[in-house]
Amino acid sequence: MHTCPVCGYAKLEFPPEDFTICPSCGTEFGYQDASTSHQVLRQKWVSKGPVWHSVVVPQPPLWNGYLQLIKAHMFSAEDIPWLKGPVKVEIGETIRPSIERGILVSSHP
Amino acid sequence: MNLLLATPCNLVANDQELGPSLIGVFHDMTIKIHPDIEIPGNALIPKEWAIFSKWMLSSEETRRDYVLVSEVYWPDGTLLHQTKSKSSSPATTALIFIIKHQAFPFGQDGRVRIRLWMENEDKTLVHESIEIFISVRVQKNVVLG
Repeated sequence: MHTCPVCGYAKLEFPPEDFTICPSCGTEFGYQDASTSHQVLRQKWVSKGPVWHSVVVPQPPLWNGYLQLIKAHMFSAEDIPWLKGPVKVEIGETIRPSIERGILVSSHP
Repeated sequence: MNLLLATPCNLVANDQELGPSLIGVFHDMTIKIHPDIEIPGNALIPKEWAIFSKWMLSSEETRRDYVLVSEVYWPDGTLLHQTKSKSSSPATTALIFIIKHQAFPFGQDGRVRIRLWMENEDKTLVHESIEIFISVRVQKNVVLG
């Protein structure tokens, strides 16, 4: 199996060349990537959803394009429009317990 | 079989002698974004987190194989992720599962629901499902420095 350099789909049957079409993002390698970079193709795919491309190869159950990019380490602020603005994640009301031989000791900060 | 503890956390540190320690147990997450940013409903961010659970077995229940099924749902009720983790015939009466995730769903305001239940290998229910919730708040119109 091969990985798509555009969307991170990890089950390409053939290498991404010689007119192989990725069922996930629809890139036709050797044609579309001859004049357009993989990053630009990725940005276009993300801007459309990202959605599963193929109507022949069924979409895997619980498939999510963002998760596919994350697992392939292709998730970048350069490609994801909503990551370009500042995003701040706060984990609130955290409890920090420790477990000692099955006894739960917890403390609330 | 009894469930002793089930919780999401940032990280589980495992010590050979003391056992696992949970780092950053959480049930509430706030994502602050710039007012001009629209987040799609299927958005995930790269964030490592884990679902820790510890189960107590009777002596008759040891040395059997069990399957922990875990499901993570979006706030709108859509299933995001399902994992099946198999134990390998535990010899002790304590059974621990650590389900690691690489991404966290934050495209929707509301409660991310986690369901856990235990099955035998033949899918017979061993422990009925339990639910854990993580509140996710997406705050817009926040000026970030």
